[in-house]
Amino acid sequence: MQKRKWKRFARNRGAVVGLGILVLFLLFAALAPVIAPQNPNKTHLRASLAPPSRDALLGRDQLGRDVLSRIIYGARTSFLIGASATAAAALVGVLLGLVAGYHSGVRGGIIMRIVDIMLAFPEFLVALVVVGILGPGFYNVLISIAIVFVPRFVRITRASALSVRENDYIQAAVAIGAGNGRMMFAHVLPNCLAPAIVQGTLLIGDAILISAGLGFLGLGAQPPLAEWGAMLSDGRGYIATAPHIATFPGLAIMFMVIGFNLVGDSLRDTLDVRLT
Amino acid sequence: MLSFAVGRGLGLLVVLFVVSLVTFSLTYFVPGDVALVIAGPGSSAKSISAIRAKLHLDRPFHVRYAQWLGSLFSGDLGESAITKEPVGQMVGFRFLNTLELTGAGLGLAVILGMPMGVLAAIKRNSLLDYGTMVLSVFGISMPIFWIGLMLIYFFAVRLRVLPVTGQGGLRHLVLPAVTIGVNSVAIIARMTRSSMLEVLGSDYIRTAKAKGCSERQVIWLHALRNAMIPIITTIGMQLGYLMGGAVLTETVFAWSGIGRLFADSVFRRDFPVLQILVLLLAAVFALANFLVDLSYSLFDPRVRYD
Repeated sequence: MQKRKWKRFARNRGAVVGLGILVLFLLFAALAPVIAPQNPNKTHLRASLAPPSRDALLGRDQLGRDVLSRIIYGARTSFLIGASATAAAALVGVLLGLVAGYHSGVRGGIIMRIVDIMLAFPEFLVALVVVGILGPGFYNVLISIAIVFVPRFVRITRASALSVRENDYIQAAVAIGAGNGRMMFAHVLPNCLAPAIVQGTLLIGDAILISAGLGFLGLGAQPPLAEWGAMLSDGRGYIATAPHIATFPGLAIMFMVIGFNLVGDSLRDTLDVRLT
Repeated sequence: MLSFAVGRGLGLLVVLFVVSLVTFSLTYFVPGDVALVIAGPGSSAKSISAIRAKLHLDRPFHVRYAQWLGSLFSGDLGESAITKEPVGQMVGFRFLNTLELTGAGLGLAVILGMPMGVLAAIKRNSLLDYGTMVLSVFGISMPIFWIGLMLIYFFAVRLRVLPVTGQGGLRHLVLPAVTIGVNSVAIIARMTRSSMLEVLGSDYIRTAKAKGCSERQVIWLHALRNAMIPIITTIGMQLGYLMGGAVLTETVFAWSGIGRLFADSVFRRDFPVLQILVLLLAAVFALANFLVDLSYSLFDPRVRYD
């Protein structure tokens, strides 16, 4: 990013707040063993459901595990699933979108019809079906979200590839004899990346919400791995007696997603991208 | 207009056909043997193959697909692989319950979201604008099952003004409808604001003001009507989004609808039920998209369908 754009980004209050939130969570995730006050999986049945106190800052769950420590470790799970699912989808989706935009004939047509049908279904339901077929677990959630996001990247990259193709510098590249591969990867692709980057940032937030939703239904990363959605599901049964169990993981999810949304929104404004 | 409607209608049928093919293949290629599941552990090879023959699981793909499609058209939606209940019976009333829930959520989202967006746009860069936009970032970032749990805690457990779960009457509908609608309120408010901002800067708005239209007339008649197309598209998209949200909302509030049935069928690997649900949802989305397309000409007479 050029200096001027970086300055515009940094002057945006939302961008700074969002970036701050993400850096904080990233530190949580990276340094979890150092930061977490207790072992996230150690049960304390005597202190089961204990409300927040000096002993456990955010209280303990039904097995007496420290909620704060589990939230800190849960940041790892959410970050990993959100970022890697989106990255995998971006890799496949941008390539397919590039092909569909560059070869807008039959090949492009087939890709786009499949994309249209996939986009006709709500992402959460498709992810739910895929996980239902593959079975619950960390990797299957990751795969299902990646599958669901591919069409988004295809559509947005195709749209920019179609417009980039009309530029004079593409004509120039044709004139000096650039082949198909060189055209797509050296000339078209670099000029299509901005929308995909903005879309990707916003989608990481969606991925975190979807994986938490699947976790809440019991289909996410399996115990003892700390996962925010599953923590909320545990807390559901104790909402009257120990509301802290459901409250804090939900706040964690919300703030992480806010971080990605704020950064994504400001990137969109800075890079001047329109998402359809 | 008519030829457009017919063309789109045919397109709809093609989409539904492809979806039916995909849902059917899902259950065909899915790992795990249905006959084994039904027979239960420890049953003899003979009884397993009997079940396989009874369910026609030994026939080739295209024959089974044709049989399945044929029985759908004759009104036989099959029976649940687990409970043996007819799928039509399982889906019918639950579908109505889900429509009630999503309809209430969408209504709430439109009634709250659009005025919020309009106000934020006309008072651009005011405290009201910032407030609305900050709220909407929270709105799109909250996991909806968490919203549901927090609402239950405050209104049912602490204040005891509304029932925790269950169905029947408006009092039972309030919390689930708010839960499922919050995300959409935020999305519609954001879209309304940006669409209004674009329209408010255009020449015909200046003309309308110049010829002496009242501020209110300019905003609600001239500007909003012209800003409607992206807003309508967004509202149409919310329908699919709400169906996804229904799975989580219905789970939190023990609401007997197709969202929860969907999740339960995934859990129990009850594919006959899942197939019908996927087809039903596909039909609903396709129909909604179709209606959205048709409604464009209502708001913008320049849109022609020929």
